[in-house]
Amino acid sequence: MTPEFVPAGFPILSVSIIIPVIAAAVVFALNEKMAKPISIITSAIVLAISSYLLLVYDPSGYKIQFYEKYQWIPQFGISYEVGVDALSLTMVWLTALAFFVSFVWSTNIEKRIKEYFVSFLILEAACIGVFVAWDLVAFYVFWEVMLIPMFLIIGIWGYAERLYAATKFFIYTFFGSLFLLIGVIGMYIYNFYSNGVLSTSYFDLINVKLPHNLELIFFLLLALGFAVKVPMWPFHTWLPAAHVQAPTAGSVILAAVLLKMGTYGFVRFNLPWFPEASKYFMPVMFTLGVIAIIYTAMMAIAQTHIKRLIAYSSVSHMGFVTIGTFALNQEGVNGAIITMISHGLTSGALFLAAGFIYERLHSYEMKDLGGMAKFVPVFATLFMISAMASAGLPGLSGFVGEFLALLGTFKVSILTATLAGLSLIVGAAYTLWLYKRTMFEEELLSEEKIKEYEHLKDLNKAELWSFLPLVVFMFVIGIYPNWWINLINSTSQFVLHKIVGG
Amino acid sequence: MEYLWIIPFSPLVAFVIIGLFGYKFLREPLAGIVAVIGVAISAITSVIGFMDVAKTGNYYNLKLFNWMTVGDYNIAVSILWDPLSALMTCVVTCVSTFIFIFATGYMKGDESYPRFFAYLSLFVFMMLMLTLSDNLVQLFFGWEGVGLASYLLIGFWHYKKSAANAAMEAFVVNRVGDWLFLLGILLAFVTFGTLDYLEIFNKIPEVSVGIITAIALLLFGGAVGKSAQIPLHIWLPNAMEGPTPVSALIHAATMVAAGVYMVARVMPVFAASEVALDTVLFVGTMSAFIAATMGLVQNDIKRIIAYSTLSQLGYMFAAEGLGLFSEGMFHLTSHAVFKALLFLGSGSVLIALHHLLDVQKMGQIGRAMPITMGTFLIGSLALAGIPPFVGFFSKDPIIEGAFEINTFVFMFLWAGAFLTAFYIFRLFFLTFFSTDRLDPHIREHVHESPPNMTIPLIVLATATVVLGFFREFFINFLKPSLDPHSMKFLSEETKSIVWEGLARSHHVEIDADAFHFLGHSLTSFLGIVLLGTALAGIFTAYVIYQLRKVDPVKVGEMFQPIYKLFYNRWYFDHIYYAIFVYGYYKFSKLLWFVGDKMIIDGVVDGSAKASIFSGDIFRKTQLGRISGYVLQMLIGTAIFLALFLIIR
Repeated sequence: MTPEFVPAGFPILSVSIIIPVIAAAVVFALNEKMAKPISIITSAIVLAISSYLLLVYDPSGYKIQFYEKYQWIPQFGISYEVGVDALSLTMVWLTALAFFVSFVWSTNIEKRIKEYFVSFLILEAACIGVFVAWDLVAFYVFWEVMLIPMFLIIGIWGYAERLYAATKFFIYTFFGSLFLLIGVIGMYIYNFYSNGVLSTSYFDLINVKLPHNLELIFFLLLALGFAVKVPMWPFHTWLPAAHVQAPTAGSVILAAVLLKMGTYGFVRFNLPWFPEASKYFMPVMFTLGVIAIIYTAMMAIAQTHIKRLIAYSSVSHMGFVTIGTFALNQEGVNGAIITMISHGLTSGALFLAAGFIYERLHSYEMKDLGGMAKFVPVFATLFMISAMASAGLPGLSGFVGEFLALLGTFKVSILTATLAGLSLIVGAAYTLWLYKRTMFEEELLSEEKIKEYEHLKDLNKAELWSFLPLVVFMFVIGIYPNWWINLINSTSQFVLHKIVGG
Repeated sequence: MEYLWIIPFSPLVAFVIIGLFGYKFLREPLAGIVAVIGVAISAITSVIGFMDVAKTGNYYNLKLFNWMTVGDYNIAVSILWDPLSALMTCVVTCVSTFIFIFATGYMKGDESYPRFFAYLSLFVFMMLMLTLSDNLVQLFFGWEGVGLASYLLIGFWHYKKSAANAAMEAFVVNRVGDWLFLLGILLAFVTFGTLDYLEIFNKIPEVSVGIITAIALLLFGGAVGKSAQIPLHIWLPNAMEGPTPVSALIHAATMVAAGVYMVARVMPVFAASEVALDTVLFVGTMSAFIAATMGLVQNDIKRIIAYSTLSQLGYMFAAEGLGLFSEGMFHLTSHAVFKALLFLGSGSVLIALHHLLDVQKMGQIGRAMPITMGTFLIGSLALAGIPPFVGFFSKDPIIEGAFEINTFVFMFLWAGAFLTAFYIFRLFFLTFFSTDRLDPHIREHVHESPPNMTIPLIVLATATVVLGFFREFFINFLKPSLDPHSMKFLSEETKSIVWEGLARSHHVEIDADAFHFLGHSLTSFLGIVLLGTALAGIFTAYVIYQLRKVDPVKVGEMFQPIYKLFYNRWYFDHIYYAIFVYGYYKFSKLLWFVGDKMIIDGVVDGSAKASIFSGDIFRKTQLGRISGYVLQMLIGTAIFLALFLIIR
């Protein structure tokens, strides 16, 4: 199955990568006051572009759309090649949305305001680049470039132990991406060795026929690189550390966008490139996925720091993406992709909620929190909806993805689906625990605290406008999932075409 | 029948209106009025639809909206309107209407008045999605949705720690059932390739009994959670933290009966598996008996009624397990009416007594609130199974059926009937008569409730008196949904499977006609025994709590171990708390310290240290000369090439 290419009349994808970079330069040149408005406008433009692409994308048949290819270093077969299929496109859209939300939210930055927005803008360009690149060198460059601004965001604008967390984040993910690099170079060399062609294009490397053992080795190399990013158990400990220290907007990006790159990598590379190895390692990935779901749900309920709780819940949800992906059937992959989108919305919203609580009460520790619901009703409502979407309530986005992923898994392994389904219980437990300890139980508060609470301000305009889009799309996906399923169907068919045929 | 879509969406519209404008524009009492209008519209519409089905005996299947496509199967938002769903929908909407009206009085002056009615409307919408569904996924949507509404309403007064805890407990325990239910849905989908009831029914003959049993048991797991049957019953008594109209609507009349309804809805699946029916029978019987024993010794007025609900739901499941599905559904209807009445009556008492819950501290308030007392008495008699109240016509047939089918089950249900009559009249006498134990300050303010609270009581009490005589109508009405020979939507093969599956109840003849049944009960040995049992229960309560001939404390001491067992609710709560709450939490904490902090981070941070050390060694490979690097690159490439040659 070779994909069709629909060249772009106008290099719209390159433009959406370049716009944030230009904006970053402009922000750098102008004074501090202009930083935020420029960033918001930029991200709004990128969001508008990606929403437009989402609407005009043709989901009938597998086509790489808005495709651009320019020679870069032809001697080594390296080119600049971008385009989108539904998987890329939904991820780009999610990225654009998450950055828009983060910029609107970022009001209380006190130090190095220009640098803050510059870092985020560069990060946005790199993230989009990762999702649209089809040339492995370009992909890898974007993949690594992304680390630097994120490292700075945690390391400069984070909380007390930010340096430890930033370093851990950087070294850990860098460690993972080295394996990815080795794997990619191996594929490159093997392609040359067997076909005599030097190429770093995804569409050339997908046709490489690897001997069985080598396929297993390359699968593992790439999988290691992606597993750190997802993160999968037991490579997950950098994530809670990073989230706890990162500023709110950084956490939103980390959860909504950066984690998706790992699972994106699995769906994009491991399944189509290594179909036999994917089947071979299915039990391993199922086991790791189930451990991630249950073990990290237990980690989540053991936390008293609300951001760490939400961070662990992310790992738990990504477990669903893992099992859905490696169910290796249509429902499973569809479920995995929709869970990726949905998790981007819910975890983003939950980190915004944590940020809101911190701005009001200056603590992330449960012992200092509680009883807010009555004083901030609008926030309490949006927070409840996000929590319920995260807990997989039907009618909201979380259920659609988890249902499909579970269905796909159930067809392959009843035991895995049964164990993964336990997240219905343990997931509800930590989510409601989080909500209860932050929002309910006003009677446990002291008199002074209640007086203090009476001055609490509900969501201000900026906060409301960053919260609302996330919540709206939780409903959109939950109530009308068919549009999204229809969008990604042909893509997941392509991803699986070597495994299930067709 | 296109107009049926109004039924679920009218409360939804009310919910959205109140949710958006409740605090700013509507406030009290407009928010309540909007909610009442919303639910009243759907009640009227469903009664019209009910009449239509009663006349024709037809069924209608409307697909409203294609929600999700999985493979070749479209999961649609839909309405299946047949006698069974029509009955359940009417029960839900009609009882809701009166409870909503009652709530406008009960919630008077509450600062979150609009929020309350928004939640109630949301609940009714979700409940209707559940009852009207024609497939398992929409049912699950409603199922989880009512779980959410229940969570929000139990925790309505969330400033209280106990309410917040009870709400969370309810949701999480329900999720245990939902987990099984979802697995049941997945198994059904993988087996049948569809989730529409009508298509599933006709594919039953193609599937082995083992898989049918597995599906039925998994679905029943969900029912055990939702209908609070043993062993997942613990959340319901704690759910009484919610406002009383909530207890009446959600935790007595409608939501908790959803499990019973679901089993009846997919009756052919259950009927096709003997093991599944036996499980339903066993769980129902045990719950009916054990919950009644728990109810004996509680002192919280709402909790006593809550245990009674558990017990009565057990009777309904027992009826289904016996194969008497119509009797189970009739008892559901009857229970919805008289239990809503009892809860609203207790709500009226609570308002009069400023939310005093302990029956030991009440007494002699009957004279001050005659309407509440009178209607409460009617509800109690119905629960005890005294003719001519509806409870008699719905509960006695189940026990008589058990007598014919399974002696073991009969013994427990019979004993349960005695306990039921006893505990409800213990409550009745302690609250309304007996000695005056009331705090004088409260006594000064004891008063009858306003009309918007007493009128629903009177209406429900009237229904309790009258409804029993329509027994024959209901049993015949349900036939096109529950009697295999009259079910138009079943294929011949499925009909014969279902018919054989229900063989256990074939020899049972219970009079459908109310007067015949009454006459039969008063003349046959079994009927007299049952009636005598109920009267004995009432009489015992009268002797102990009204005449005070026997000191209940002494009786308690005499049977110390049993009393303790009952009082501590058979230690279910203690054991669950120790294992699933405290144990799970502590184990998670331990795992966090050992697993994440010590082992994983130990390795990660340890390897960081190791790399600093090894970095010193590897630094020596960095020669700083181009030729050195070229050499290293060549070695790397050579390693890859060697790898390819070795592995082919």
